[in-house]
Amino acid sequence: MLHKDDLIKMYRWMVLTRTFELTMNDLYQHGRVPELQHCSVGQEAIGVGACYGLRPEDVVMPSLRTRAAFLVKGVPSKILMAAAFAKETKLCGGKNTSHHLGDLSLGIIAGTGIVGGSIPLAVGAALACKLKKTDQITVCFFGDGATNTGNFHESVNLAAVLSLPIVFVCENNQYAMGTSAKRSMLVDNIADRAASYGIPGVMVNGNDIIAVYDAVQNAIQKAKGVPPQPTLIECKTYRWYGHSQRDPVDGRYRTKEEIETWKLRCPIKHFREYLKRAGILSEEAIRETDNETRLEIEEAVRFAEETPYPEPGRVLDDNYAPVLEV
Amino acid sequence: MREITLARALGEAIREEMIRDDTVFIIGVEVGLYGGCFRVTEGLFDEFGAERVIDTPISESALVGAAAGAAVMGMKPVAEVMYQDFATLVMDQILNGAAKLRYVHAGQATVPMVLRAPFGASGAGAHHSQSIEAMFCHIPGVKVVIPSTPYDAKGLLKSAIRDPNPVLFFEHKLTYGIKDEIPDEDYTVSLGKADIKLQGKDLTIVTWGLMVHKALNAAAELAKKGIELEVIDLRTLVPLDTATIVSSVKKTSRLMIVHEACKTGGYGSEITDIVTREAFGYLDSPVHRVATPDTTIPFSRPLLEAIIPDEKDIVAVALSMTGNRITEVENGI
Repeated sequence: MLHKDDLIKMYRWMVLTRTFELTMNDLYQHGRVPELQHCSVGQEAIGVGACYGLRPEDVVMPSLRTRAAFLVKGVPSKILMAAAFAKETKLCGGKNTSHHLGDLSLGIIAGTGIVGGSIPLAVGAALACKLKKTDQITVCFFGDGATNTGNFHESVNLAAVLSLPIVFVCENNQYAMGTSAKRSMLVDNIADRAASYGIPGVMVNGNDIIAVYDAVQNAIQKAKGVPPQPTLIECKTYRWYGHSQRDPVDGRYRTKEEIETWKLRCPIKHFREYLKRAGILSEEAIRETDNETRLEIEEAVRFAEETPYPEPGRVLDDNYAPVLEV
Repeated sequence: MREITLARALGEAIREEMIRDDTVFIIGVEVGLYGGCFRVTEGLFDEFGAERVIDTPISESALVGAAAGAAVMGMKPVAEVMYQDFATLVMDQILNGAAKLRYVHAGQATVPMVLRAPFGASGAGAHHSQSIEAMFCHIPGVKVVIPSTPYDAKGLLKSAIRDPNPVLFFEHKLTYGIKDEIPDEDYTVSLGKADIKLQGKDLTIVTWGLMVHKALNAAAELAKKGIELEVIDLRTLVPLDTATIVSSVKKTSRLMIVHEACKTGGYGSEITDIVTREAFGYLDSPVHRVATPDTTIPFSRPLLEAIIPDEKDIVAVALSMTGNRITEVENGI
């Protein structure tokens, strides 16, 4: 059950995520950050709504565009920013981009950069939790494009057959790079694909943070059931920016009108209006949140710039774990 | 001491490790109820139950990725892919998943998993006969093991299961039936240590898997002619025991590498490179690679026998290398 304070926190996470993303977008355009950003603006409600109710021990496998999941799961914005700057951090030590990093102490597993390729790993995390008889839940994020890979099909089916405590969250932003979902699948809803695995498929408005939260919480109950049952949740949303910053916002594969229509369905604006109407958030609190998050991200950028690069002498470390037991 | 087959030795290794460590589990296609395509895991489903001997759908990529994910979360999976040929289906999960998980977590993650797969030509046709170990040796982050005897197989597999890294454990199908005496008590064979299966002074053969036995047979043949082969069984291809190879070549001054994998890009070229750099001045002959020519592996026995290296090939090349006979070198041998 969400209380007033929870709603305010969820709102703040969304604003923080967006501020992070827009700042990174700006930094990249000015050549100040080396990481080619794959902007998640427009999709903030999914990562926040899905992760807000998770416990520290629950596991998430973020997708390329689940920036919010890192923040909500506890990665400080300055560490995430330093990672994007390819600086020394305990998360990845400059060894991978900020899109695919992990912190096992926070329950975040680094995915792979291969679309759909992380889904088997997440299934394995859920399998481990089941075998160890913990009650941890794994939440696995991926985009609409990933649902056309064999790994999606194999993994969701395997999780269903093995009855694993996992929630599959598809961030359907309607474009896999420049290919519309309409051009790559003949089903109207990705949630419908769940039927072929004999698990529940749920479709929600991915721009409605409460709808996402509720859907994930319901799925978690099923994942904790006897026997556990995975759920496939499709969150319909929209990617405001190009696939990456090398892709123009209004590439030829979509229209300006479409983009503008979806911007009217902004998940943050939608939630802010709701909170105002409900008397939970005042104009002043809104300004304060904007101000606070702006300052936090400014500080993150300062921290990232000041953080040193990793030591080249350590580049070969961590390919192998030392053998302690013989 | 008991005499058992290599297949049984592998089964015993897994069983004993499952008893020793309750985070060890088996996952694969037909590994449980069926008992394993080559009967390696036979009996384990009955003993440990479906929870620790997990049968999966024919979803190699998902099951191997799941093994890697479970390993990161503290389990020690022993995954099986029915044939090494099918390991191509899981290449992404090995290359981009298992092998990189520790690195991208800056050392925070460990991936203690084993992936077992049978390989080699056994008259099973183009897609069930290959020896593609070199492809996996090219992946930083994994170890690659190939046993040749039941003793080694059991000890190496135990070490592989206890190793905190992803270990690819490849078993030549024609070695499954080989029998050997093994100790009753617990023992391991360290990864990364080659074994000199036969001492000799005239020529070093570096090999692995089934070819170890062919090399030993050839050595017995050559001994009658007064030529002493030293046969090194690599056992672990990655990490490679360079020191054992180099010191042997410094002693014998001649190196032949024998592998069933096809020649181009085979692991033999890697060993050749190391020896020509580290023991160049000691060589009395060019390094020779005896390998299968670059071809799809055929089904028909006469076709197979025409291409897979055997004792005759090894003897002929050894004679030519030791100056006892000039041999026409054919078929990429």
